[in-house]
Amino acid sequence: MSLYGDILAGFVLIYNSLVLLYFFSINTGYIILLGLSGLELRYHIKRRTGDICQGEACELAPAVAILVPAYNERATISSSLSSLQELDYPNLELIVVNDGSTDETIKEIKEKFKLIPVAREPENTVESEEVREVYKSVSDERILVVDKDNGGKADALNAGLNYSRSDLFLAIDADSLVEKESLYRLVEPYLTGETNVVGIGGIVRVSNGCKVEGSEVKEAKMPSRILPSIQVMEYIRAFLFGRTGWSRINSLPIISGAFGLFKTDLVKNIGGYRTETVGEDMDLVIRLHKYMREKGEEYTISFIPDPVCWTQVPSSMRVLSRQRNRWQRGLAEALTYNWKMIGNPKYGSIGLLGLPFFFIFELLGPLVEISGYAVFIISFFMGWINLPFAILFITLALVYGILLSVLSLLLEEFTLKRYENPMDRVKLLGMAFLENFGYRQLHALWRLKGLVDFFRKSKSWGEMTRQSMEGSKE
Amino acid sequence: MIELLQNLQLAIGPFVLPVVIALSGLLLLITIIYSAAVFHHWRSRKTREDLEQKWLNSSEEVITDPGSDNLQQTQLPPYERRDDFLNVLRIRNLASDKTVEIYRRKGFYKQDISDLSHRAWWRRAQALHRLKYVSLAGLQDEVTSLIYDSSREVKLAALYSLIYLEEFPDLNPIKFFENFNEKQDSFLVIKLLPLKPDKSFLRPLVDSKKPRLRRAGATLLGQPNEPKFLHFLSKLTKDKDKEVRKRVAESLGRVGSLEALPILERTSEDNEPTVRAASARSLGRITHEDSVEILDHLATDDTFKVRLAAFNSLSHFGEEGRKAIGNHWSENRRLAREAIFESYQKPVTP
Repeated sequence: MSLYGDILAGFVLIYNSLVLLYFFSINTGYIILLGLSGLELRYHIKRRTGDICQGEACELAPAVAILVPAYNERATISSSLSSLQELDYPNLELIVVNDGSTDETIKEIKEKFKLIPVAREPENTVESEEVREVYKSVSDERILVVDKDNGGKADALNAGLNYSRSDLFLAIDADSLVEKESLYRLVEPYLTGETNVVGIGGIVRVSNGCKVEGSEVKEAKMPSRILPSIQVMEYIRAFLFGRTGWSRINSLPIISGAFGLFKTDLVKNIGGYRTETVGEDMDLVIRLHKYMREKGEEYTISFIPDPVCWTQVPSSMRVLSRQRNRWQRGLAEALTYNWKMIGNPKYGSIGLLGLPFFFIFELLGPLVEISGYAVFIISFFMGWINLPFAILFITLALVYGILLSVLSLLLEEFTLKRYENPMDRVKLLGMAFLENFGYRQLHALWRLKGLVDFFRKSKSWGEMTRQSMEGSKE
Repeated sequence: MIELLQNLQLAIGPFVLPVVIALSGLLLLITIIYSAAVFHHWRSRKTREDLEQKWLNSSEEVITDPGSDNLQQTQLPPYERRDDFLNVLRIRNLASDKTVEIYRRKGFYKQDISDLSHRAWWRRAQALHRLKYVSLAGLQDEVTSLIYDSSREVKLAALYSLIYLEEFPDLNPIKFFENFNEKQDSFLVIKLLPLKPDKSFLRPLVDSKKPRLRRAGATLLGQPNEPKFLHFLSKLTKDKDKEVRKRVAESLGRVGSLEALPILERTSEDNEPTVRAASARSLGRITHEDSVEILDHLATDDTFKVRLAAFNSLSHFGEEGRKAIGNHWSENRRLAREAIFESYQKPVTP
C-alpha cells in the first residue's frame, strides 16, 4: 500500500508542480496580452476616419458581398437582412444561402423580399452541395438568395462565394445585426493598410436585452437573465483583450465567423472554407496565415474594435453547452488540420506564439483545469494537501480570474463604453465576479466534453433556438 | 514521497500568501477605479449634455471663417473650456449637427488650427478631422504640408480633408504618391478623383516609368463626363502593363462619351481577359449601337468573366440589348437568362 501510495503521491507531486507552472504561464500570457490590447485600443480610440469616398469616386471602392448562411433562421432572417439593407456602403451584394432549412426560412424571405427565381451563373471554384434554386429580390437588386441542399455552415459559405462577384466578402451569422457604419470601418484598412490586408475582424457583442428598433440596436443594454449577462462579460474579454492583443502582433489565429471580412479571390485560391470542420472560421484564418507566409509576402490579418455586429447568445444551459462544445471541437479540428504550423519558425509569430498559445492554453486548458480539480480533491481527501494551502491556491486562482475580467472591463470603460447606463456597467462588474463561481467550472466541463467529442469524431453542430430581434427580447 | 509533497506545500505556502494578498489588493484597487470611472463618466456625460444645451441656447453669435479677425475677439468664460467641448465630440465620435453648430459658433476651431502643428500625432489628426466642419479656406498650405507628415494617421487625416479644400492643392504628383505605400494607391486615387486633378498633375503620372504611377494616372484620367483627357487614355491603351490597360478601359466607361467608343473598341480586343472584361463593363455605360455590336462580339469570348461582363452590359440596352442577348441563348443559356432578367430590372442607359 505504501509503495502504491508513494507512486500516487509522486504523481500528484509532479502533477501539482506542472499545474502550478501552467497556472503561472497562462496568467503571464494573459497579462502580456492585456498590455498589448491596451496599447492597440489606445491607438484606435485616438485615430479618426472619415468617409471613404465621395460621389462618383465611390464606384472605385471595393465591392463587398455579405454572405449570410442560414439554417432554420425563420425567426431572425428578415430583421437581419433588413439591417444589412441599411448598411452605408456603395458597392454591396447581399447573398443569403439557405442551407436546406427544415423550417420556413426560404418562405419567409421569399415573401418579405419578393424573390423570383433567376438563372445566375456561378463561378464554381470551390466545392459545395447542389444548389436547388437561385433567387433575386425584385424590391432590392442587391439581394441574391441561394437555396441549396444541407451541407453545413462552411459549405453554405462556399456556395455563397461561388455566386459572389465582389472583391471582398463579409461572412456573418443570420441572427446578426450589423451597425450601419461598420462596413466602411472594416473596409478602410484594406485601402489604407501599408501591407496586404487579407482579413479583418470586428467586434461581436451580445444583442440579448438590447433595445432593438426595426433592424437597428438603438441602445446597448444588459440582459436581465444571468446566463446571457455572463456571456456579455465573456465576449468583452474575448474580443477586447484577446483578439485585440493578438492583432497587435499580427498573430491573430481567429476571426469570428459571425463578423469577418476577407479577400474573395484569396479565399478561393486556398479552396474556400473547409467543410469537414465545425471550426471553419478559425481554420480559414490559420490557412490564410499559412498561405501568405509560404508566399513570403508581407500581410496583415487584424481585428479592429469599433465596427460592431450584434448577435444573440444562448439563454439556456443546454444550448450554451452545445455551443461551447462545438467551439472546442472546432478549435481542436483547426489546430489538428494545421498542426505542422504549431511551433514552426517558418510561420513567424503565428507559428511560434499564436498557435502554441491556443494549443497549450485554449485547447488543453479545460483538461488541465478539470483534472486539476480532480487531483486536488483526491489529494485533499487523502490528506496530502493541507487545508490552508488548498484555500490559498483556490483563492489565488479565483482572484486572478476575476482580476483579468475586471481589467478587460476597465479597457472597455476607458475606450468604447458601449453600455451607457451606469447600472449596466455595475452589473457587468458583478458578472466578472459571479462567473468564477460555478459558471467557469461548468464551462471548463463543457469544453472538456467538446475535446472528448473531438476524439470521438463527433460532427454535430447543435441547435440554437432563435427569437425575433424586435423589442428587447432575450 | 507524501512527505516531500507536504514539504513542497509548506515551502510554497509562504510565497503564495503574499501573492494572494497582493492580487486581492490589486483587484480591490481595480474594482474601485472601475467604479469611480463609471461614476465619473456618468457625471461628466450629464455635465456635457447640460453644457451643450447651454451653448446652444446662448444667443452669442460669433464665427465666420478661420481667417477672420473677429475670431480673435471671442472671449470664452473660464468654465467653458475647449477640452470639455472636445470631449463632447470625442464621445459622439462623429459630430452631430448640434455639436458642429457649437464648434462653429463658439470658435473652438481656433485651437484646432494651432493643433495642426502639435507634437502629438493624434492632436494633429483629430484637429484635421474636426476642422472639416468649418471652411478649410486659408488652410490649403497647412493641409497640403500635413500630407507629408511623419505620422501615417496624420497623412491619412490630411487625405480625408482634401475634399473640403476649395481648390486642388499644389502637389507634386510623383512626390505625393511616393510619400505613401503602393498598397494605399487605390485609396489615394479615390480621394483624388473627386478633386478633378488637372493636366499638370496627371501628365507626370502618365509619362512615368513606374507602372504604379501610370496605373494611378490611368484611373485619375477617367473623370466622369470629362472627355478632355481621352488622348492620354488612348496613349495608355498601348501600355505594357496590363493593369494600366485595364484601368484605361474602366476610365473610358466613367468618361462615358461617344468619343471614348473607338478607344474602347481597341481595348476590347486586348490580349488580356481582364482588360476585355473592363471594356465590356464600360461599354454598358455608353449608349450607341456600336457599343451593342462590340458587346455582341465580347459575349462569345472564351473567358467567363468577359462574357459575364458583356451580358451584364447588354442588359442596360433595353430591347436592343435583349435582342443581342437572344443571339447567344443557345451557347450561354444561364448567362443569357440572367441578363434578360436584369434587363427588365435596370433602367435603360440614357
